[in-house]
Amino acid sequence: MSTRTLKDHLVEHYGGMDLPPQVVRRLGALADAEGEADVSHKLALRSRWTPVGVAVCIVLLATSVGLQVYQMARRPAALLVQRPAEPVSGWRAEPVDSGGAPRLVAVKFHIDGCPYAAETAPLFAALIDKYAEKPVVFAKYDMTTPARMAQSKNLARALGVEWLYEGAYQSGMIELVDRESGQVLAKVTKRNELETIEQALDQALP
Amino acid sequence: MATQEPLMGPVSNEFRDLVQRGYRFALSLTHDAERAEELVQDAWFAVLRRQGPWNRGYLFTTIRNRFIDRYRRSGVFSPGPLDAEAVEAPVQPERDLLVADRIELSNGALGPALGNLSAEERAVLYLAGVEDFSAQGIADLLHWPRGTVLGVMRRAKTKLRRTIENGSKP
Repeated sequence: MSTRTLKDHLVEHYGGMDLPPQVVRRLGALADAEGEADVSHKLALRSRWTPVGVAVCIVLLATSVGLQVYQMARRPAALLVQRPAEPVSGWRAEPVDSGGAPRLVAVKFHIDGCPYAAETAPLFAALIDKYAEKPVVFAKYDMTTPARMAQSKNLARALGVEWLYEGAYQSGMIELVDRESGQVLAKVTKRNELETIEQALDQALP
Repeated sequence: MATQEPLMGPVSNEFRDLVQRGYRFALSLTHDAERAEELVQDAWFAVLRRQGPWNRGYLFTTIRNRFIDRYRRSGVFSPGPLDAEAVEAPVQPERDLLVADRIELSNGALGPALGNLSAEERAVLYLAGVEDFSAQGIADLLHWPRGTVLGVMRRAKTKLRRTIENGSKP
């Protein structure tokens, strides 16, 4: 038993709890491609170069617009007449029929550079290899940029599993869902074994 | 022997300190090492993606927000109802927020006792006790009035003391 201030006890308790060094290094590597995560250096660099970067962008944009206007002004008027649109051969503008799509969908949630996503990537690849011939759709929900997120959501909508992205998810997670019943059959994170999802797949497959 | 991943370069002490502080704050919220690890990584990605400043205040705020997004269905980080005693307690000098409270503890007894507190109470104790935040600093970080912070602090200390006296039972 020791009688000390609550502050001392708290400092001792939390002071002994550290993030594993490999995780710190991963976060550092993400933050700085050169591998040297130096906060003060980054802050100084950002504040010094941001106005210069903005100025350079404005000059480049203005030059580009000016060049285009100049070229348009010099171009003969005849060339500006639009040709009538021609149908593209071989293209059928028909809606995609997803009625025959497989019932099972395996989705991997992904962010570029995420260590969890990197850890589960080989698991997902192994899963695709093993079940390539089976009626399972493998999809990746890429959350790296808003544009990729939007595309992933479009794909989900086409597969009829847009509800999947409304719930709680995290990068690196793999989920096996039954798109007819809306049930999540299995979930794999970096801490689970791949067998979890394989067993669920084997049970659910016809 | 484990081989080191090539991408992982050395990190500066300043960066390591920032991330470790973030992790401990996440730990005070979740009281679970695995969840805290995920939370601090999530928050760090968010900081990088938004190109936010690399400082303690911004990282802690991001961790708090990610904690609410992930683990709070209600979407709030509320101090909860405070009893009259907690609200009307005389305001202590800032530097004495936790220093004056002497507490008798056996080794390893604080962890389970903290588990009986709410995330809000643990966060306030952590910020004041370990990070040396003032009551106003905590109020700014958590978006609570300063008096509420002091009330939560008082309630947390009372609960902690009671839990320790009863052998880790609230």
